[in-house]
Amino acid sequence: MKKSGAFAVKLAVLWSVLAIFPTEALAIPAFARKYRTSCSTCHIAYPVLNSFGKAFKARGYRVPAEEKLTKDEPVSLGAPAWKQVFPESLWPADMPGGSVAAFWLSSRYRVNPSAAITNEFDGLHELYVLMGGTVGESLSFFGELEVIDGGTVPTAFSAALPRAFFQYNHTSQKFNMTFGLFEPRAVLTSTRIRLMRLSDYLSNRYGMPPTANAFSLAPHQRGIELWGNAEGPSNKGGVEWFFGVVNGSDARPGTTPAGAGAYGYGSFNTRFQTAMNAAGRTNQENNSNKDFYGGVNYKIGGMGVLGSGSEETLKEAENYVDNSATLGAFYYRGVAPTLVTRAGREALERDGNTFHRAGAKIDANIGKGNILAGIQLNRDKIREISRNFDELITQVEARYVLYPWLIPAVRFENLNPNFGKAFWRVTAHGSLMVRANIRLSIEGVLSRNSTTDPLKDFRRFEGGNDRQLHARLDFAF
Amino acid sequence: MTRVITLVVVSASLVRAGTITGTVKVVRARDSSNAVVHLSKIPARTFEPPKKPVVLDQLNLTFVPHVLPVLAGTTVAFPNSDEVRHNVFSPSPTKRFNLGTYPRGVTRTLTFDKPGEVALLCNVHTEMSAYVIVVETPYFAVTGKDGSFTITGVPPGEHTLNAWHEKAKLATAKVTIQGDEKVTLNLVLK
Repeated sequence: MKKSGAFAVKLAVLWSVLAIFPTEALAIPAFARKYRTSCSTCHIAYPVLNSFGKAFKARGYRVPAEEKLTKDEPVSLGAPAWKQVFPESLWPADMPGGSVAAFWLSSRYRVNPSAAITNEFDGLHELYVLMGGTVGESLSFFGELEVIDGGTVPTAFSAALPRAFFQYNHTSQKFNMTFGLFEPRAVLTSTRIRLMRLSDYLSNRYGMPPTANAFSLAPHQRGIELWGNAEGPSNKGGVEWFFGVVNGSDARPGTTPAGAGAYGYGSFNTRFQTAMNAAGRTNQENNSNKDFYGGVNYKIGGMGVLGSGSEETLKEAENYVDNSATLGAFYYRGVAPTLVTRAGREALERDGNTFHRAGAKIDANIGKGNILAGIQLNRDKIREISRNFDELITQVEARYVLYPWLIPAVRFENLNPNFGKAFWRVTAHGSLMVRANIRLSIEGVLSRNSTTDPLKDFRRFEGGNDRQLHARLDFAF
Repeated sequence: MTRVITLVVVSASLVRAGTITGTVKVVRARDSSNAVVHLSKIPARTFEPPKKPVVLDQLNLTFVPHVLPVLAGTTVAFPNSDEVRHNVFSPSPTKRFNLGTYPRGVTRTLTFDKPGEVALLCNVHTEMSAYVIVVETPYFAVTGKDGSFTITGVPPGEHTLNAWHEKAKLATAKVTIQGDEKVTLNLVLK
């Protein structure tokens, strides 16, 4: 009896392990459906992209041997021979034969000692509708509709529709264009495909409190981006260049960093809003100046940036290993309004703040591990007082694929302003892939300030993310 | 027009007289069917085209077959076996023509004299597409889904073998037939 009982326990354990970690799993968002392939072909704990996924994105959401590997028969919008008739006819194309929509929903439990509700369970934390597809040989599109975000229904347009763009890829892949609402490439690392979900990167989202400039590089801008890729020698690695012109909208319309001050730390926000209202503006992007940016990334070794060597099959085994290093740099210049005093009265000067963001990074894949180190300088230059406000942000993030279904990661960030005291933040994370499209993650954030002066404690502009823990379940289909 | 050629000759073995066999692999196509393999003009040799027209039908909003190789001088019949009206025309420099739009049951014919690729379109249904490949010898074959082909009765001599596919660049290879033999060629089209 004792023996059979032990056997039953072993059997139960084995069954539960097999049930949780099957040998094969298929995710079915739009592109997975199109190619009949697993999420893990392109992702390491989605939405983080592996090298193949990055190449797929670079090619305009196409795999290198597009037609051969497409399982979803596209709808013809004209046979290819119609090119011979142009301009007497429409240029031929095709469009997706199946659904272009996919869904991503998440649920989370959050512990936040700083919040009014310290322990909170969001039944449905996020529900995103993601749309993506290709049109013909060179056009593609991508859209994201946030039905529920942060447990509530977004009311602002930019929150409800954070991404919606068309993309043109030249056949050489060297000269491409993105048009619409998109996340610029001018970031140390993408907000959209980050592994850690509790907090965004300081480098992407942190504003400039003294100037009340809420501008952030991510998550999106409206405009046009030109970019291209070319693979390196022997189809290893390669270069990516980009240049964009965008509106420069701040990420949080109608707001400035809570409690921000006019070059100091006082109650500037209210005055700023008053001046904006007087100017008939509802958000900070109230100048005609367009922001611009540019940059380059160079990958040394590893899979070609356009996915060379992966043409015959959709590789699914150990595709998180790609020994290589990517060096990158970018520069962004924008113009924002600021508050000035004229004839004893405060007024909004639309182009009073010329700001700059410059960053450099190294992104290294070593075996099953990845380390991303970056440094970014944020500078706001206020014309009225001829003064620069600087923030120097450094960050290091590391992850390791213990197993394809178990990925721990840690991130360290430091923000050092020239107008106050520095603070740092550490985020620890663990992802467990229950299926290729179901992710269970646990994450904790801790930040520390180098001062005890509450007025100089800039962690408060993070929105209370200084000490949190959450457990989260993501499901994409 | 001369294009870049890619060729992989895997093996050549003597089995039977005057036969060229092998496979064509089309790298960027869903499968390797509908590639046309044919010999270039053989000096001092002329070939009579078939007396009866070769049929390229229109059925269920598709041209059948999708690819039709014919010897120069061959007449092709284009019946409309569909339930709807169809048009057949070609914008290709090799043979520009327009047979007009005609209903079910009607057949129109056309003779193809000049070697080359002739793309066929229907201006009623823009997704319809077919190709007539006009060749200079009767030594040709169309590949199946697995890319295999066989050309029999090839006269002795040194020949140029061409492989065409609508989604790839033309490839050519030199092949020598000395007598009783079977030559195997595997071609890769990019």
